[in-house]
Order: sequence, then structure tokens, then C-alpha cells
Amino acid sequence: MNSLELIKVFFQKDKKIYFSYRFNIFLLFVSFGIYLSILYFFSKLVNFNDFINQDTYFLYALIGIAIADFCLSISSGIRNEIMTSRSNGTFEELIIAPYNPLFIILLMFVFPVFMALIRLLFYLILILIVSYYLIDISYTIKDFTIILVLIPLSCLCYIGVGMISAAFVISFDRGDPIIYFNSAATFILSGVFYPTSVLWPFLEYISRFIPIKHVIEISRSLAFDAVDYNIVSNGIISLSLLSLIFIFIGLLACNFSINRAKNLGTFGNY
Amino acid sequence: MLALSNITKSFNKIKVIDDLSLQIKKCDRIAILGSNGSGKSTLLKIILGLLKPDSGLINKEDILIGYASQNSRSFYMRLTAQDNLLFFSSIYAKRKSKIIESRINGYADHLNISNLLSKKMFDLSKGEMQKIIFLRSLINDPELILFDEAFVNIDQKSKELFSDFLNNKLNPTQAVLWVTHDKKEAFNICNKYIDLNDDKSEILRKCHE
Repeated sequence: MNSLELIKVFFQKDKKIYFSYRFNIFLLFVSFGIYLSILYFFSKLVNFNDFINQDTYFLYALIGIAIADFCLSISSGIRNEIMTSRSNGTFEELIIAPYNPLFIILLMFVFPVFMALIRLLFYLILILIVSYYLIDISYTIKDFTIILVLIPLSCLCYIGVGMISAAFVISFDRGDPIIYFNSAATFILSGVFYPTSVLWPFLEYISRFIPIKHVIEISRSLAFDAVDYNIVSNGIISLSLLSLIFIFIGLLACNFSINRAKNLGTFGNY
Repeated sequence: MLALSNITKSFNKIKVIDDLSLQIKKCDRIAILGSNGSGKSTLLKIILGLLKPDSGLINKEDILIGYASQNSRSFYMRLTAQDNLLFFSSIYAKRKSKIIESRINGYADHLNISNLLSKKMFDLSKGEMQKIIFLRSLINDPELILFDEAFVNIDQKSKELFSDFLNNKLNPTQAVLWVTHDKKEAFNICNKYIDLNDDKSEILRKCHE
């Protein structure tokens, strides 16, 4: 079978499983609503500066959360898929397929990435509604073009992070430090809830190496400032470089963990 | 189609497989016998590429291998047996096959398990799941089929039906490697065997010698 047919087969299988948990999908929507309500009322207390005040903080944080949710869903999605697959005993059955095991692992990314994109789409619609009706901000075609460049780049970056996470799960079962570092780095250092300028200088410096920081910075500049193409181009260059680095490390780590599992016979462990 | 030469594998410095050589040709029906922990499943995992030997060579032609594992839960439990079979047959096949659905139905008919296909996996008993595993190993018409304790949890009547299927309905050119600790069951299906408990484990013997 060619790659596209395999992607379709994996996608259809995961879609069927996902939609078989109907009540869970309903609860996700409920929790989404509760979460947004808390954020909305909380934002009424905030007054950062002239730009970020109680009227605009809701949108400010919403942009941060939308991007954080997208990136974290991708990076943790594959790890969760592998953990589930190992605990129900299907991982070995997948690995023996006549393809490179790394390719099979990448196929397991297809549905989590798709679902992350769907969630991002929901957030983007919400951001547009909030921007237009609550704050009176409108976007141009150029803004959407920049968003269309940012999405695949951040997707690539976090697929790389997800592969590193997957490598840990394959090698050490549940012992995956990446998920903790990634969540901590995202919520503390990337400026999801506050600008990175409030961080201590050395933390602000470290934040440059966290891909999501650039995505959030550019996205917010589209909403709140006149677009500074210097920030946009620098951010896109940083993201491209980080994508290459994370994908490269991810491929190496996954290859290493697959070989280790083959030597120790631990594909089926969990 | 497959040759293993001087394969050795240890776990925690304990040799599980020691200098094993084995050739599998078309039409072979070979039983791998041995007590628990004698390395039977390890050998299958080495053939499948799930495990690397410490030393030795594996010479494998570009063949399709079917595998019936002893893990009866190796399915997606929220999907039906039919959906699972369609998914796994798609990823195991090298080419897209349009006749796969009719082949699943045909084999299920022969094995008298058609009634299980529309059921979700979590509604099946362990024995029924094992029957679906048996079917999964056959559907792509692989050149070599590995059965790892394939009759575990299966009732006597079905065992006889499945043995009859292997002896009479399976394409004679398909090779079978049957792992079990039950000599009687093995001799009913295979014509050669290796006993991994035997010191000279590389010797392939005829079943009725």
C-alpha cells in the first residue's frame, strides 16, 4: 500500500475509535465551556498596561491558550497513542507490519494532529468572534496568510517534540520527562498568560528556544499591534530552525529507542 | 524462504536460544516444541523482527508473514472484529486488495465464526478473540504463518475444525511454524518438529519417527 492509503487506513481506524466515545466528546465540549467562562470572568480582574487591560486580556489569554492547546495536543498525542497501543497489546501487531517501524509510529500521529487542528479551528473561530464583537478588531488577508504559515511550522516543531516523547515512552514505558518539561516550559516560559518580558532576564533568554513562544508572539502582534514584519520574519526563521532541530532529534531518538526495544524485546511492555 | 543460522539470544545473561539453525521452505509444516520459557515465542519474535538476536544470521526472502500471537487482546476493543480484520489486513498487505472483505467472509465461513465478525471485540470471550487472531493470520494469504500457542482458550470442537482447515483448506505451498508445548496437537498439524528442550535443538525431526 502506498503512504496515502496507509494514512487513510490509520485515520479511519482512529476516527471510529474516537467517535465511539460519544459521551466523552460531549463532556469535552462542556469542560471547554466551563474553562472559557472562568477565563472570561478572571480576565475582568486583569490590568497589565494600556494595551492589555480587562477588555482585551480575555482575547490575549485566549490566543495563548489556543496555541498552547494545539502544540501540547500534538506533542502528547503520539505518546498517548503509543501508551494505549502498548497497554492493549496492538503495538507489537503494528510494528510487525512490513514497513519501517518509524513510519508506523509517524502514522500514529495522523489522527492526533487532525484533532489538534480541529480544536485550533474552534479556537480561531472563537478568537474571531471575540475580536470582532467584544474588542472591535478585524483581521486582514495578510494576517490569515501569516497564520497559515505558522500552523504547519509549529505542527512540525511539536511533531519533533512528540517523537522525542514517544522515544522515551518506548524506552522507559511511562517514564517520559518530555511531557512535564514541555508543559512547564509552555505555561511558564512561553507567554501563554503573560508577556515573556515580565520573566527574569535569563528565563526570557531561555524562552527564545521554545517554539510556542514565537507562535504566540507573532499571533498576538496580529491582534494587538500593527504587524511588525521584522518580528514575523524573525519568528518564522526561529521556528523553521527549531523545527529542523526537533525533527532531527526526534528521528534520532525514535530510531535509538526502536533499536533498544528490538534488542531487549520490550515493544510489548507498558 | 527463511533461514536462521546459529541464532543465540540471552536475557539477563541467561541463554534462551543457543546456536539454533533452522531452514523453512515452501510447504513446510514445522512444530516448535518446548516447555514454558524454552524460547519458543522468542524465536517467533526474532523471525518477525520484533527482537534482534545477539548473534547469528537471518536470511529472509521478501515474503509476507502471518502471525497469530497468544495475546488474545491484541485488537482495538471499541471496533468490531470485521473492522479490526480490515485494518490489520490493510497494513500487513504490501498491495491494496479489493477482495479482502470477501476473503475475510470466506475464511470466517470455513472456520464457522461468521457470527463474530459484526460484534465489537469487547463483547467477545477470550476464546472467540483467539479465533479472530487465527483468522487475522490467514487473511493476506501469507507465504509463512507463525502460530504462537494458537489454540489457547479455544474449545475442543473448534480446535478440530481449525486443525482440519489447516490440513485440508490451506494452500499447500504456505509454510507453517506451529509453536506449542502440546506434542499431540503439533503432530496433528505438522510433519516436522524441533524440540527446544533437546540439547541438539537444531535437529529437525519427522513427526512420526
